[in-house]
Amino acid sequence: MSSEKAQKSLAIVMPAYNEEKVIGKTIASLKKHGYTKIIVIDDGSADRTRAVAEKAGAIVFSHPINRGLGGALGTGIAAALDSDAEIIVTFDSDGQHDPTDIKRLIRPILARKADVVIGSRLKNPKGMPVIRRIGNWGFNIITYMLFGVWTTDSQSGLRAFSRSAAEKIEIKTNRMEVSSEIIKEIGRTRLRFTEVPIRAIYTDYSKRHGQSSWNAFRILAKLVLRKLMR
Amino acid sequence: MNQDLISTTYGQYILLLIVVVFAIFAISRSYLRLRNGNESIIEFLFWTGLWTLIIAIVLVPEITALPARLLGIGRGVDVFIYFGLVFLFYSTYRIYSKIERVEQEITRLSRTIALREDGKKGKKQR
Repeated sequence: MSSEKAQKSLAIVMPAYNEEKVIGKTIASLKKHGYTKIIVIDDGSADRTRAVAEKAGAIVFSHPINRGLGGALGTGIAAALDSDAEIIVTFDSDGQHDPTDIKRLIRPILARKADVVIGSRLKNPKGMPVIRRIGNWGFNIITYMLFGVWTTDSQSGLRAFSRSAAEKIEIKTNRMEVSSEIIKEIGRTRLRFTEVPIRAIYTDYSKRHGQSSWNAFRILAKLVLRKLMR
Repeated sequence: MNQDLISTTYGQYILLLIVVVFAIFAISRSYLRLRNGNESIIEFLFWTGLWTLIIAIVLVPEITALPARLLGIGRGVDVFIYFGLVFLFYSTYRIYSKIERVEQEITRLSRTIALREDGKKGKKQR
């Protein structure tokens, strides 16, 4: 696949919940880099997220009620598969990702060396607040113990899937646990997986919108419960 | 002195009465749920049995002595408390998994609605 053709059959999936302030800018910067198929999942936003995203040129799917990150990613991936995408990239709507990273992110898939690529903020941790770095490591260790896949940034929102990988991965969790669930699915379906370093842009806005430490505990508790119950 | 004794006794009766009334209330709720088709006959029998047992134990505490002796637990009431705890843990687990399932179903529903409503429009625009 040539890289131009890849760009055309590439769909960007962007979950969004009350992001009217930034989503327009995020979409515009992706368009500027040549990514045209941008699928926004408006996850029951109460603000003008949908209108802003549509105006910026995205294809918008709206959940009637808020379902959380996992629910929105599942819908986005389903919509991308419906639209015959060959590569699916998940991209956060809050502006913390750099569109220029996508090219590097999809390279292992184009080269057929990987089925799933995660953009790791920790291979190049400049700019990430220390407390988050520590939290992330704890998460990665637990993710490894539970699912047997080692990642340096299991909670990263920038990921790329080949079409066949996206078809195999089953997302069941609704909320933030989804990031770990994706790792679990990579282990379960034995997909080839790699990480590439990405740049994280920590603005005040994205810091406020990220996971709080409290949330991390909730995710942990849920993951452990799940593991015990299966 | 005498007055204190009397009020303690009354206090015990009031507690008994509360437990019995609540148990009857719980059974009646279960019956209503059965009649409306929200509960299966097995669930109804289970809850009725459980609450009847609670009434029996509250009124005649001596009946717990036999199972306690059989299981090697000192006091009769303790048997009830142990089983009560096990049951509570189990029902918490059941409720947790049920809520998980409901959450997943709601998500599937939201997804279907989103894909149907907006998918249609997307095709028209294209």
